[in-house]
Amino acid sequence: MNCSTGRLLSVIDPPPKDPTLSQAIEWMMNALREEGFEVLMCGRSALDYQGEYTGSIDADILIGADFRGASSLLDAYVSRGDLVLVGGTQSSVARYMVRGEKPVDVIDVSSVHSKLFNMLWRDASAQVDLGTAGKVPAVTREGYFVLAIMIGLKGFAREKADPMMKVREAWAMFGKRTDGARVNAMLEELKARITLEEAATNQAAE
Amino acid sequence: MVSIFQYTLLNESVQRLAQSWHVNPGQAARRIRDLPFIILSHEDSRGGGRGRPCRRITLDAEWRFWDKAGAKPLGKLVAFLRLLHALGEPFALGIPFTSALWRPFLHPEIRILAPPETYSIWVRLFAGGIGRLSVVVELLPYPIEVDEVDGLPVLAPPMALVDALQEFERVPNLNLLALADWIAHHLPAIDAARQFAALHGLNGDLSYLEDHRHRGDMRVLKLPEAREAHARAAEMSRVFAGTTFDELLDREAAVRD
Repeated sequence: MNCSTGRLLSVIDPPPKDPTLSQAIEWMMNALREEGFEVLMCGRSALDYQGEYTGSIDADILIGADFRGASSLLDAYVSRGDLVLVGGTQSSVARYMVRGEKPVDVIDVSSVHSKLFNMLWRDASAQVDLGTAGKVPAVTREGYFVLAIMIGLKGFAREKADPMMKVREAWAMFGKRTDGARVNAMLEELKARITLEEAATNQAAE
Repeated sequence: MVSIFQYTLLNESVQRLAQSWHVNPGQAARRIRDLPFIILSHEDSRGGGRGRPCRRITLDAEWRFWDKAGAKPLGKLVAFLRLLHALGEPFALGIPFTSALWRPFLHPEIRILAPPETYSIWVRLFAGGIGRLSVVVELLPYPIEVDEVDGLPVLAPPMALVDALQEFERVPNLNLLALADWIAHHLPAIDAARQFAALHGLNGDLSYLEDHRHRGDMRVLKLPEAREAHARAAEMSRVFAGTTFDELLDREAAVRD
């Protein structure tokens, strides 16, 4: 039973034994989409699937709405032993280990900006082939910057000593290939009062 | 160790290569067939036995990896590197392959370290890039220890630390510093890195990584980044260590041609 919606959950087959990272991400995507959750792959691993070479060993998934509902669904898989919840550092990020091995972070950005997920979905995502999960929307380079800047301004990175560090890192790796005007237009729509260049060169917002 | 690259520079015969490998010339020729930049030539050759000209090993001067790399260059490069290593070619790999010593990650620059004798060939064949990925060939000033990881010769941890710092100076990906930080805190024999670090003016940075109270003469490190990297190293260390570098290649395999 889904705690937040009160409806019965459909549960998919367990993930393969000793899954690869790709299989782990595919399985998480399948589990969430089976229940109708709108999800976006994000972070550097999403860019790797689009031909960049930036990523780390985990994967990140953004939840569009009803983060609590998604957590309840994933709890069912935790109970079955498919996932291990290793706890997020913040309430808006939860880290799950598929089969106890492969890390996938599930992220809620609704508290950062109510329009952020839909904007990324609409204006800054591309379809990537993800094996058994089929075509999956993944945040583009432009979307990566918008997300990193917004999380630095209003999300969990705000508490860090340098909230824009991830923006600067990304700028060094793929800033040249990024459509800065598009990023700035999205930031303006979100009323962020900062440009990509300002965030990447560490000029203070507001 | 048999260096095919050095043999091409000397325009050696296949027979000589076969002797080094303790196989017959036919087997030697078959082994190098998968290396498209090696040509078996018959020009100006004598002494093949039974009146036949002997075949010599020559480098294809026109061949460039980046002309043939296609949409999935990393996978192709790894295949060539594995083959060259299997054939005994001496070289070492730095970032991103050294990340497999800890928790693997990808990085837009690949570092190959080549000995002085064959450095120019490595540069000619593999240096360059396609925008999203590039290869940097660095000189291996003296023979150093390598570890074999997933069929690839990867710099041993102390050298990998220095290599990560060098690369951070080129492309400031914090994962590089996190790797260096983790090696400094968790792996023994850091002393072996001192000569290598001194060669690149990184002694101060190495001292800081060993003990974060030493803050003098750092060339690459800045404190906020170093602190963030330390935190990232700690966070990533909590992730299960069973992932291989090859698994990250799956991401490239998903890219459409």
